[in-house]
Amino acid sequence: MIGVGHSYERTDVFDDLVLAVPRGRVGLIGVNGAGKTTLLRMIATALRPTRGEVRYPGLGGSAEAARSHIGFMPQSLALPRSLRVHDFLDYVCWLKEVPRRARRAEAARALELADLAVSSRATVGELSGGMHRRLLFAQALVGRPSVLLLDEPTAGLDPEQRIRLRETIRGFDEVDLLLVSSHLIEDLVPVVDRVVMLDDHRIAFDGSVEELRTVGEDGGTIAGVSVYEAAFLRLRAAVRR
Amino acid sequence: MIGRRRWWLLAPFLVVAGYALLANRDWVGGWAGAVDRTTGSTVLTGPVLASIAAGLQLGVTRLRPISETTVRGHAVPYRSAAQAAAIGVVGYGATLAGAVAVTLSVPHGGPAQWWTGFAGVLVLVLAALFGALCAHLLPSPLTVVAAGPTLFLIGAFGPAPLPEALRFGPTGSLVGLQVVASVYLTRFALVVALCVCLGVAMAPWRVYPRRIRLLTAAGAAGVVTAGAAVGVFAAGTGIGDTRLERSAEGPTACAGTAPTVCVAPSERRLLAGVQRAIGRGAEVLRSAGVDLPARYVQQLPYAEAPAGSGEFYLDDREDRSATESVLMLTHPASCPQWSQDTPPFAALDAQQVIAEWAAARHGERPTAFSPEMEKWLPHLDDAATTSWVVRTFDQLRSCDLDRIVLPWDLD
Repeated sequence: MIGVGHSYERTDVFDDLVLAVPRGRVGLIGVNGAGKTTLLRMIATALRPTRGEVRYPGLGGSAEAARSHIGFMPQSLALPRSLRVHDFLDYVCWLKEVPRRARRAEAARALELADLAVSSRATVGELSGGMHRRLLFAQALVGRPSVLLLDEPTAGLDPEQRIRLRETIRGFDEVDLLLVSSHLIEDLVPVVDRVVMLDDHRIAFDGSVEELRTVGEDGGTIAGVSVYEAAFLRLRAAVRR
Repeated sequence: MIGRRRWWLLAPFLVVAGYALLANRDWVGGWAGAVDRTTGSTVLTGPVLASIAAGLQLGVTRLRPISETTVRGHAVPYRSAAQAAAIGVVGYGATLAGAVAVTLSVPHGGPAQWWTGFAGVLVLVLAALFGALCAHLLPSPLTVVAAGPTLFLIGAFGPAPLPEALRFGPTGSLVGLQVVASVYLTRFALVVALCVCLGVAMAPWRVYPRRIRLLTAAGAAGVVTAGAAVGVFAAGTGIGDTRLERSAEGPTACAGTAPTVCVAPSERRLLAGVQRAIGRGAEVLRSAGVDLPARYVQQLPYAEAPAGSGEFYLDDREDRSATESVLMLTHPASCPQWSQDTPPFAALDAQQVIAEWAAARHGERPTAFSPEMEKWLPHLDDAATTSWVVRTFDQLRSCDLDRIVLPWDLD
């Protein structure tokens, strides 16, 4: 991303952002409203930056060409309760140009990868909160994307479901780039190798998990706070200064 | 809509189509009428389909967070329109099948321009695009409700030539008539141009680079200009009129003797009733010594009865009084005076007097249509009146209408 800026209703979400996201597993951390979702939607081609450009080297160059390589899991999606899971995935297959004959197998593959076992007649209304998140994860896997963008995948889940979904994501290694956003650093650290922190409309930190840990350890521990949370707090304080 | 359970949406379409088909049954029995009525049903089913399309589009709008990041994300409204159009085409086919079945269930016939039925398909595609576009631009349940009525109002009160694009048929009776192909094809072109405009309006303008947007805008402007040109041309060539011309259909479906009664094959279902009525009237007239033509044929637009044949106007009533039956016989020849600017009033009155006279002989109570006739009624059964009837009928048959004198005006 080169000099990317985005404004919403005349308010800058961020300005002149420069970020290179190579292969690997990257976490995007920031407080609520930091612009994580906006940034992910921009990378996912859903939003056009009001300034600058997003480039997709290796994915065809243009946003249009990159779409066939990107899988995106939105933070939330209100699906109709009466909608059948398989009909939903069939629609996503259509959206991603999966050939008609391959759709059933592709949907089954995505469900398996997302560790979601449901009957062919199951409806969205029959799914628990955790299963619903897995369904959104599964739809992102349809079409075998090489870039997977997950926006707050564990948001709203109870601790057990969070851990289960986190494990599923950690065990998933079929993409070149996994970019996960969260406002909970404890959810990110186990599944990524690199962390990018957004704060105050800019990038406050961009480094490996180890480097983040070092930031957290420098200056001593903070009572009741993990080393990564300490790093997060120190980075925010540095930005404020 | 997602999933395979969208065919229930056919139900409202078919209910409205059924109403459009059967609310008026004057078309029944003729193939031209069946096609025209089916095409005309889109005046009502088109708006229904627009709302269906809007509903389908609204249903997938909530999945926009996913679809807007996918290769086919921009095609979603087109998909909704295509799904609605598929429903429309299937429903239209069912409507046509219904019209055919109704036609086959009665004595039927006549020519038909089956290709004109394609107009209905075009209108339904246009309606589907319109509805999908509405919900694409204004994704709200209110849009679903309003899309159909809006399209209907555009068809009813919109600026020319939009009504002509949305309203094909029903044109009334097509017996002996056919549409002018050039006018219909011009209207087809207009609908196609409007469909292209709606399709362009649905394009994902925001996501394309400025250069492509400008090119697309220029292309759209070109299409709109072309559409407007078609509209202007269409208006100039009389697209606003229901352009009909005489068809090859003649009164060739005949029955009976003395006289033989012939109707257009499209009206074959009425032949038996007409023949009964004319036979009853003929009996009364013959008993008085009236010399009737050997053949009576149905009056058709732009057509004259063959020389020596009488003609009658055909309506679709089942029962006719004696007066009405005899009245059908009082055009014993196709005279030019009937179609002059000033009608032959004395002849018209004479026809009515003959009919009332025959009704009285048939035991029915005659009705006077003027004070003079009221005063004259007691003389209805006179031998002089019978002689007047025979003489006047001869004058009607020989087109000597100017010499007809009403009985109370005789010296």
